[in-house]
Amino acid sequence: MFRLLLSVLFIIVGIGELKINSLNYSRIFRSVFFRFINSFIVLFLLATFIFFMIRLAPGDPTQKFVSAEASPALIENLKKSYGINDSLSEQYLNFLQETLSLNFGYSFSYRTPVIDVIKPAFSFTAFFAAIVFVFQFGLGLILALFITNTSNSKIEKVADNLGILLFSIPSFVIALFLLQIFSVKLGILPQGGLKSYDFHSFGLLNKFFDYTSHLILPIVTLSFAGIALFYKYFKDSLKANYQTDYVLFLRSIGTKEKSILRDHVLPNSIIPSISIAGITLGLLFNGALITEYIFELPGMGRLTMNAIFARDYPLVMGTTFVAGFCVIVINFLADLLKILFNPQYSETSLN
Amino acid sequence: MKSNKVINIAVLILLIIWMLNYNQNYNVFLMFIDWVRGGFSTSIPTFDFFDLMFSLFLPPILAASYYIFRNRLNFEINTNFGLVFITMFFVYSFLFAPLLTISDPNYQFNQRIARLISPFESIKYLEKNESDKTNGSFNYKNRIYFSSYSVLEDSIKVFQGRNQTIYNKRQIVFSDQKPKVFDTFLPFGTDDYGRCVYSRIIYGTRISISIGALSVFISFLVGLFLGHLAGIAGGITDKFLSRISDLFLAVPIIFFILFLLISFGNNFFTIVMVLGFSGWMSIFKLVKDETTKAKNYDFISTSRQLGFDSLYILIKDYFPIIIIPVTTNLVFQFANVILAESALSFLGLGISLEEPSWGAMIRSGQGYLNQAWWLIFFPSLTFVSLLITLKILGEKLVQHLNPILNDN
Repeated sequence: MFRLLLSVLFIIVGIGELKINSLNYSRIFRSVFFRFINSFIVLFLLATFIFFMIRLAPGDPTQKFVSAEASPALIENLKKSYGINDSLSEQYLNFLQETLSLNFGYSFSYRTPVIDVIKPAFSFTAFFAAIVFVFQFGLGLILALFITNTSNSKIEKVADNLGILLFSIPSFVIALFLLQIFSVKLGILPQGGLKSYDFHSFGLLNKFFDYTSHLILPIVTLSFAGIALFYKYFKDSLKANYQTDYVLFLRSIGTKEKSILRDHVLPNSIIPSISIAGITLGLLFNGALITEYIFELPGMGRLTMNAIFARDYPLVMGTTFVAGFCVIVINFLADLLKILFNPQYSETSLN
Repeated sequence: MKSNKVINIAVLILLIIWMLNYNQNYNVFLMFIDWVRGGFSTSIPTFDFFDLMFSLFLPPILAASYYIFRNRLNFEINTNFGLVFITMFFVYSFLFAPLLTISDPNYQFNQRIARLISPFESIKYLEKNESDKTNGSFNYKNRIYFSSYSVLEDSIKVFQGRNQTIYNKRQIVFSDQKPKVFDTFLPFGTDDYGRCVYSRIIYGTRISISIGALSVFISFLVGLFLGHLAGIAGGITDKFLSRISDLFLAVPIIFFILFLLISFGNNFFTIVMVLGFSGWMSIFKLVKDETTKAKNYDFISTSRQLGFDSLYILIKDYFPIIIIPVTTNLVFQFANVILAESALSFLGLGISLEEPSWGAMIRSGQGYLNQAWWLIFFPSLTFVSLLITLKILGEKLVQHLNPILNDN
């Protein structure tokens, strides 16, 4: 199965190259350019939105940053350094300038630059999201292939119903049930956190196992819904592709079933899923808020939530902007990939 | 099975549940109590506030929906018993929560004996005599809950934790020279404050469904207005509104909701507004696409040239086209909003602590993972079954309204 998947990847790339050679470049570049401009406009709107959201929120930074006994002169000084006394348009321009250079100021609760607070959380979330995404995509695809190949209607029905069930169970319910079974009743896996308390005393291999044992439950929790989603999507498109005329033609000229699947059906059913994969990955990069909250993982979701609860406005601005930026960039990349594999897509309208 | 028959059977079973409940408790009386204030001390019973409000708004809504759908109601959807039963159960517990419950959702049984009682157990009590009763006959203060007892001559010795009290013939209800011991069956046990979990779940339906319905309605209105505007106007307006909807899709919406709730306080109104205004994007897109397509149809340009005003054209000409894809979307949206509300309650930002929201119940059960599994199990079972029911109903609606998809 794994070899099959690998070969599928190579074939997809090959088809993309083949198709792009026979096409009008200028139209594709125009389309890509418009999509880039579009993403840039949304990014600009995002920054504007965040700015006005923070302005509308009650309270100003000086009340949080200094103690109640601070002298009026100090507060005035701070206000000047934050630029609160400036006009709104000046503040807005200043904010845009600083945002584009990823300078969000100092976090109130951590007392360090926001970007330094975000970096570790973001690296953890990126790592975590990548693993979860591989699980979702791979297991969904393998399950769909298995179900379409067996052509047993009973198993298919069971799998479909299980998929609906797993897709509709909210993550906090899954998480608590897994905790109940594996941590409380069986006592195999830890309840939360990323490391054990005696982590530093372990050897290299044990450190690795420690990380894995802490990450199993969160990964399983997050993967379920995605596996169900990708399974349903792949199963539908595989079935639809098997019913098309070209498969009938290939069968009639005596192509092997394995070759039909590997060279024709699989690429055609994977390519349309790129946009859904982009959306899923974007959401994962935002940080799985509730999973991180339950399992106490140091990711973007929990960082943002703690910042919101502590009214740490610079940190909120930073995390929201980074998360939104990731979504926009990933969607843009997904569009690019889609155009690369299927240049017809570039002719569809932006909306 | 025909859907009508299944619905009849489900209603019958729910009526039987109600009858069984009715014999044991005074549930009908709960209808006359304002449960939000826990007003058990009022001597003049007031009708259940929620049902009062609902019965004010229900007749016009029913009349309007009958007027709109009267020609489209004669369809059959393949249903099974479980689906209809669960749907009817939720509708029933939404409308007549007091009739299905055992006690008021916020009523705490005696803390000494009723804390964390496991499911399918019952709790015993004695009833005070007429002369001793305070504040009318239907008052929980007139009940004496206990864990065990021993019968003496003309009196009864009752144990409540470490306490023991003796009640004689004059104080409590006797029948045939023996003290009469009543039972309250607790199907889902009690929580850490000694409240009946089952009753809280039933009342939680009201919160989830009313928040879901109201915020879906708000996002429907916003999506309809903006989508129609973008579809009709086209050009720059369309592009600008599409970028705004892209923005709302790019912003991690849960953080936006959290931020607004923390900044402006969390209560019923803000949660409905925030959830409503954060879910209009898909409806906007559907309405915009349909409107752009329908703009060039002959009958619409005819009615425009006949000089009808635009609201009339929207309701009479566009609405029947728009409503088909939007209806199915609204069902899924409804499920999403209910999920979001529970997630917010789970994070501690629900409507308020005294109201029994499912998410808040799961949150409180999190602290008793190794003592009381039922605190998490039953609320999440109800919650998940509502979500799955909504999803299946939505898919059935898609199949019904879009027969072409059904063939594949």
